[in-house]
Amino acid sequence: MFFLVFQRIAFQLVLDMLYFPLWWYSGGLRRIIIGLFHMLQDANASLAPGLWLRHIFTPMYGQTDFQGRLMSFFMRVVNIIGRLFALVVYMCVLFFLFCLWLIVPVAIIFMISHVVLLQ
Amino acid sequence: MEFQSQTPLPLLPYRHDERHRRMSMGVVLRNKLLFWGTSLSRRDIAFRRMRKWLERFEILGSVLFGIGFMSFFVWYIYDKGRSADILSLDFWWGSPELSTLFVWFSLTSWCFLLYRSIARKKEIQVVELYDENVLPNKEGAVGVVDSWKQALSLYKGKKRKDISRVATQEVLQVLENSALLAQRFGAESVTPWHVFHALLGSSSVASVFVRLGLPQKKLQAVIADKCERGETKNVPSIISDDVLQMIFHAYEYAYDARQEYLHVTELLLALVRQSVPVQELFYDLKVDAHKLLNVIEWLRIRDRLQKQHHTFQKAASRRSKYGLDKAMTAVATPFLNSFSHDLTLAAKFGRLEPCVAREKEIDEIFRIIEGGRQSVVLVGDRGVGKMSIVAGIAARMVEEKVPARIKDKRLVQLSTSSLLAGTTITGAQERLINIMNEVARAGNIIFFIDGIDDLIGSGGQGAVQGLDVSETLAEFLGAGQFLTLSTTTITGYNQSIVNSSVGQVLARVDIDEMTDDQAIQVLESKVGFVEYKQQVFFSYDALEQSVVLAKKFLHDQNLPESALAIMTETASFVHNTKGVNTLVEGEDVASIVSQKTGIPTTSITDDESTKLMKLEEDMHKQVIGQDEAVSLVANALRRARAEVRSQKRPIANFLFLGPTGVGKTELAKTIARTYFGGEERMIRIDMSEYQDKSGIYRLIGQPGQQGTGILTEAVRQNPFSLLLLDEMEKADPDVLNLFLQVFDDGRLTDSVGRVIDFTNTIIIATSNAGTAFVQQQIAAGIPLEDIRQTLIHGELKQYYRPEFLNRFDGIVLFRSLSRDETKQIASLMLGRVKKDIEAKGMSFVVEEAALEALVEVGYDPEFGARPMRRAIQDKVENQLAELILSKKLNRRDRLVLGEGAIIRVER
Repeated sequence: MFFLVFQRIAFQLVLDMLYFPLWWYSGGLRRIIIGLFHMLQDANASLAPGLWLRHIFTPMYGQTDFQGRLMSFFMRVVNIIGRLFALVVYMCVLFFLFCLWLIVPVAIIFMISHVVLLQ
Repeated sequence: MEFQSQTPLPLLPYRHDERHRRMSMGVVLRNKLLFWGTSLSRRDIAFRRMRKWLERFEILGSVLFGIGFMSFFVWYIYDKGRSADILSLDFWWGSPELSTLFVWFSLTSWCFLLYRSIARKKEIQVVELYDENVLPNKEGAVGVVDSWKQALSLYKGKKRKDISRVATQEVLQVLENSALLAQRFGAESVTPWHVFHALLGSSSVASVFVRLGLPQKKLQAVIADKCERGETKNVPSIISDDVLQMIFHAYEYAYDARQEYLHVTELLLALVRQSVPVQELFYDLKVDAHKLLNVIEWLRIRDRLQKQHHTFQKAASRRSKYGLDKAMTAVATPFLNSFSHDLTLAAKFGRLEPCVAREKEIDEIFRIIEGGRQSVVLVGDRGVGKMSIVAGIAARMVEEKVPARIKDKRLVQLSTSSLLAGTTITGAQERLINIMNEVARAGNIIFFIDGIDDLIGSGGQGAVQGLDVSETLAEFLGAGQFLTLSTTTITGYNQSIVNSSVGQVLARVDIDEMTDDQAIQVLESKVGFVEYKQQVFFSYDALEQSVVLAKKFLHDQNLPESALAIMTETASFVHNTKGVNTLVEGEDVASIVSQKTGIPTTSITDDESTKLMKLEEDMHKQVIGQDEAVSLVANALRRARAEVRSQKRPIANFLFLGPTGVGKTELAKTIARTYFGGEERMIRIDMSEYQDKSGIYRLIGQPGQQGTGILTEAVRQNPFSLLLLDEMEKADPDVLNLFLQVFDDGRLTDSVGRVIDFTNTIIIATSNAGTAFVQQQIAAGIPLEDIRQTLIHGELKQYYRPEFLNRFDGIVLFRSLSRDETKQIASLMLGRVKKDIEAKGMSFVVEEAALEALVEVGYDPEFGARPMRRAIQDKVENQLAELILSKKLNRRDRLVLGEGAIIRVER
């Protein structure tokens, strides 16, 4: 039985290697998308531009007088812009990581073949 | 408690062939095909185990290749002196050298590492979400789908659920090991015994059994003997029906408990419920269902707290530490901050203890808040865990698992001591108004007042004199400007709140004392900390005993606080006496409770049981004669110690009838000494002092005034005592009526409504009623039993009502003392004199002639032993006093009480 199991394991090793590129663009891609999406969700939860937008006319720190309201409004606008900007930058970073995932195998194969062909 | 057995699930037929090994067992439930999708054949198990090694090998290999290729490249570049070129594009792109290939190979290895490490972590699958709409009618599918063919054609895609994917690695390993064990033993099928054996090999189940005081290895040896064995080893075994039922039941338990995964604890539970022989084994090991369930719950609590801790920390990191809401609409509260304590902040930093087994109460509070009420008061006695519920709410607020109305808010507790520090009452009131104003303005605060009755001056024991802010509170709370939580005791609520203006605005939530099981769960959640601190381990028995004994013997305190105190104390006791890394057992807890209360709570030792068996003999050393009374009492004491008595009545109620001086009180004292450990455990009430109706209030307390009842206070403080009601017949009949329910139910309500427990007392009433009649009858030679009957049915009715007499466990007649008995008593009394003399360094001998002389003077059948005491006083003690004062005695002298009760001094 040991031999049978060993045979299967050896076969499995080959299978694992062959499955590598396929996994990268199927299961792996799905897992990466889900992971990046969770990261984005977390960032959105802590930066919360939507919440600031909902409260755009609510005075900050309970300053309900006219000046307070006015200042709050502008402060909130600035905050929303700032937070949105930070979120967009973060999204870009995540998108970059996503692209990296897509490109890396292709790039490696391309570079290897490039080096081999030029030699 | 009996083990609950399981209703069999309508399983699909087991398919024992190679082709279907990944779908050999299944069941259709809740309109879904549940199947076990992991093969348990020997080859597949071996393959899976090798596969794990392969995975490690792949990961290690890719790391080695990654580092190797890169190092080789660096070495090559360095060796050729081309370090400067690597920054040029030409080096990589224009005319790349073959050596650059190493970099690309290295990158490939790293990618492979990424692939293997992500892919080996199987995507998380969890137990189906609990569906409230699906009735727990699991037998619903019987007769509908009973063949695989039908099931497979009906349920496809998402309608199929592989339950092996939600099982933890530990569960898989246990099932694999049980299949391998069955094959090793050559068994035809895998039986529950094989699974049990394998279960014991898993660390978390082994820890359950350690907690139950059952060593894993010993148990495994017992089980190995019970496992089915066969001649031919290593042939594939089939899975027995019991094990099939077990696996699917375990999944159902995980589903019912709304768990994410299937743990070994569920498997253990299903195993025990499925297999009667296993139940019998547990029964022999003194583990009942109740015990096992609570230990399993212990494991679950530990898991849950750990998991909660992780999610909590994540949630806590998002919360502002400056007390601001996310939208920054809140107003800063500098004034409030100096008189308060932010509970949500404390929860965020993990300073509050976890709240367990109070989900129902928290949900009720949330329902009230959702329903629109602004203020809630938690009403419950001290120590029931009101503060813990508030801590639980604070934790949920941090996790944001609360109704929308209190999301993103702060829970702030008013500090009464800071409020009052360095100011007058009016100053404090002004501070409070300022605080309230600030809270109302802030808009993100839930105000919490611990002990709200303290602020309402009209009542409450803890109330600050003259401080009455009920109007102020009512004004703010009634306006509904902010939400308030508060706590109070039942007395505090009744005295200060219910009729005040605040009472109208507060919605009441009763917090009852925990049940034993809930309290055990609380201990289970807190024991880890105590174990860590004292470096000892608690057996389950110790936890259970903490709760049971606390409830039984510490009447002044409530669960779970009382049990927690006992648990903590026992831990440090065991740490100091037995050393570190020892097991705290039930007996240790019992001995701590014994020390605290002075009551024997440990199990009966051999020494003690011999003592109990010859109780009569011991008692006769102090009580002469009165055989009937002594044996009646001894039997009652034995019943009580062996705990074969009704727990809802006093240990025993006796009425001792007899003339004065025959030993009624002496017997009572002896009982207090033998059973309760000392004469100071006797509460003596002279009923002659309660000859009118007002006596009732002296016994149970003046209405509305706490602690004024002589009887109720004495028993409340010492629930384990002997209650001696002397000269019962002299009390007013209404006072006697008070005792009717004490004798029957073992309880009495005092003037402030507290129920006093009499179930651990022995009540003895003494009475001289009818003595003359008894003397007369005895003189006429009528048997004692006949006299008693006549007495009960006739003579005694003048003094007591029949229902009163009927409630005694025994009416004991004390006979007049005979001459001989009086002589023995004289000898006993002289024993005390002897002790005094010996303390002065001399010896004292009593001759028979002296006793005769004393009896001559001191025997009086009408007055019992009292004349003898006087005789000893006159004849012996007077002589002694003279001898001592005239300095005629020296140390080492021998005093002989001889003929005529004259003392001779021998040197």
